Amino acid sequence: MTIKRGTYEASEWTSEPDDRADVLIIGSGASGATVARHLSRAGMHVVCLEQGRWINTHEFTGNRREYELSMFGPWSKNPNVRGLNEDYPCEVSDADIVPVMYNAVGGGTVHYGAMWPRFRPSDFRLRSMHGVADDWPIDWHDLWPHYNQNDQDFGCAGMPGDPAFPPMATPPMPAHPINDYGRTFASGMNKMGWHWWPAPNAIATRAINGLVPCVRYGVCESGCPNGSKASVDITHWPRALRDGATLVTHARVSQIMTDHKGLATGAIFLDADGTEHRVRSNVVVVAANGIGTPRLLLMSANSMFPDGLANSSGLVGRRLMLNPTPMQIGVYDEPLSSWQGPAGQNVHSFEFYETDPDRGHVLGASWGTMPSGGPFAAAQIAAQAGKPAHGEGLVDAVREVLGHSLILWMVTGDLPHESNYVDLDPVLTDSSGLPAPRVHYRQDANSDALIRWHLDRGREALIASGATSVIDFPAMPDQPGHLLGTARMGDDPSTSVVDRYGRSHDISNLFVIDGSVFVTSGAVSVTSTIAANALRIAHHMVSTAAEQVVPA
Amino acid sequence: MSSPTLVASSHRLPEPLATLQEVGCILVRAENGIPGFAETDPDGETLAIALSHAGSRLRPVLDALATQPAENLKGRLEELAENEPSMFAELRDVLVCSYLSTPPMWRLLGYGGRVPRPPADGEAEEYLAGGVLEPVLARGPIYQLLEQDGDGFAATGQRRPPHGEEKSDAT
Ligand SMILES: Cc1cc2nc3c(=O)[nH]c(=O)nc-3n(C[C@H](O)[C@H](O)[C@H](O)COP(=O)(O)OP(=O)(O)OC[C@H]3O[C@@H](n4cnc5c(N)ncnc54)[C@H](O)[C@@H]3O)c2cc1C
Repeated sequence: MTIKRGTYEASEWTSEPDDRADVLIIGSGASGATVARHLSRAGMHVVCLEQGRWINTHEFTGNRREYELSMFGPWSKNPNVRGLNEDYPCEVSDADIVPVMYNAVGGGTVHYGAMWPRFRPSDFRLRSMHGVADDWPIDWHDLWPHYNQNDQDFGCAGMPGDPAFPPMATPPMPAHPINDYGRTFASGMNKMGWHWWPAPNAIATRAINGLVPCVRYGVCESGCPNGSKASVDITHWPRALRDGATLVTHARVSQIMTDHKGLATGAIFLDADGTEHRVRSNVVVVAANGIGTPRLLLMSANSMFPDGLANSSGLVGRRLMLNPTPMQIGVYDEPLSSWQGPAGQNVHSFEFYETDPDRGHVLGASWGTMPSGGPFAAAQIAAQAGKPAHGEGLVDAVREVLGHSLILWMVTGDLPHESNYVDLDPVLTDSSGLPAPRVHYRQDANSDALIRWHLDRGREALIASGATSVIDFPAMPDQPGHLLGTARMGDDPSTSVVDRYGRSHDISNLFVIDGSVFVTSGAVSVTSTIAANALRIAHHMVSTAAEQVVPA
Repeated sequence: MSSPTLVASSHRLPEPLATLQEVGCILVRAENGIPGFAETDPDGETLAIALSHAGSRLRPVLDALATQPAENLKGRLEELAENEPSMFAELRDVLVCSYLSTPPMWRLLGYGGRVPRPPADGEAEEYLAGGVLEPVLARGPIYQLLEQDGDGFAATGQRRPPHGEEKSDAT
């Protein structure tokens, strides 16, 4: 075996024709890292191909003066704005919502806010309960132990006892302070008689898993310069590498290979110079997220699978869900130091999470408070309220908002529609010349009504908490990075892409483990559920390894 | 708060910083004791940082501005705002962000920047003092637990009445 263990650049890749990894994982984000860590610990040789690179904590701009300026370029959440070689562009002219992501070791967890709520039992049963969408083939009991384990493996800071959830194991760290603005909002929620609770975040309040305690820079969504946020480049990859995994960077997979029996045999990938390499494996696991995964399955079409891999149902890329996310800003007279983190959430609410038929729409939303940012963020918030975006009055407008406001953001449930989908753009390509994904997404009338209803309730809560004005953003400037549903799981191969263990119905040694497999979207931040499901699948892969069919 | 000490620029900046600074001065003029664009960043130090991050985004707008004579920059900006509003907004946002990222503006706004503020011992608990969570706990669980019965799934968990209504447990 010549495949080197450890982490290195794709240009250094060497292997002999009969070298074969036990498992090839494509994508090193939350799901890929979770599975890599578990399988490596079980003694399997995992090779992970990641198109991005390692990012060092000191590269993040969050504790430097340039922080807000850096959002205009390489630290933007939007790959189309960053335009890095490691990114692929997304064609979004037919999309009401522009998806965001990050492409590096750690994937989206490098940029995420690390809000760490779970799905609720009802999220898995929308069809049975409300006659919409579909039930999942699994339910909350299947995920609960894996959520508990991931709270340890990532590092969750939270407060036990939240009445919005069935009992769960005590998180390994206490919750973060809810800060002045969280407490202010909570007082309003108490006046309304509505649920709230200190929110769970995968952000350290004590040293854990290579993380150091948070110092509240409040810049989580652009990378934590303090090394406090549970991004899997810190929490998972060092352990997987210690257990013998191989992580190849700047390795962009162009195609998953299959043999004449229709089994996956590995992948073809390109290094940063465009040189082509091959890796062979017994099992292929796709963890490239809800856009990258269908893109790769479609790009891998061959004579045996002319419509793309795993696509006999025609559902690869279909049923894209993005969780439309409105937000509101409460502005207060008193100073609240509201640039202070984590960001992350301080308090959350599940008061209006469930469907109530009397509202005239289905699904609900979770709410959470976040810091409202620095001077430029304040200028943008004020501009949304009709205040000057430049010139006379600009500075007064900034003063009103800066440090005197909070963000209330609302993750809304999103129905899966086959008409919302990802396919391959016929013209646009990434820096390797591979077709870019094209995103077709229309926000439906249910979402419009749901958002209006929640903004009305949010306004009531903010006013009750003492806000002197409330500014609505019916759509948040950035989508929350939830990329879901495009390779859904199910028991019926004609209506789903993978089975309940993420295994392709068509190709029995090909697995999908990211948010693509979601049947419904939930109405919360999704990564703890993506990772819990990935861990569940990893356990299954280990316990059924002896029966796994592999290529000759 | 007293006005920050500002140093006027003694030399013209290299392009494209000079053009950007001129545009900045049109967008943010000194008034009512508030410094204007160039006063907060006379040597273009912050502007250079802005350019390093947003350079590729600004290229089209700088090209557009360069197609006409330099004397009438204000007129050209007005035209841009009228005919290419998103391009204008892009330029404005970068320049306003640059202005608001300068040390004099931070001092004026009383903004300390992103500095470590580790929580003090007991701070988390203090925010929850005074029984603020009691009403939430008193209302009890609010999730729906589903049990499979003969006909499918039924909600058996707790569910409080929806907004503004007193209803019995429905589903
Ligand atoms: C700004 C932002 C804020 C967010 N905030 C939160 C939050 O607070 N809470 C929360 O729960 N979630 C949040 N998210 C979402 C979270 O980041 C994702 O849910 C999570 O990262 C998904 O994990 P994943 O493994 O499915 O995919 P990703 O983390 O996206 O990883 C996929 C990886 O695959 C790689 N890849 C793709 N295609 C190829 C290819 N062809 N070859 C090789 N490599 C490839 C990519 O480079 C990437 O690294 C946020 C996301 C963003 C962008």
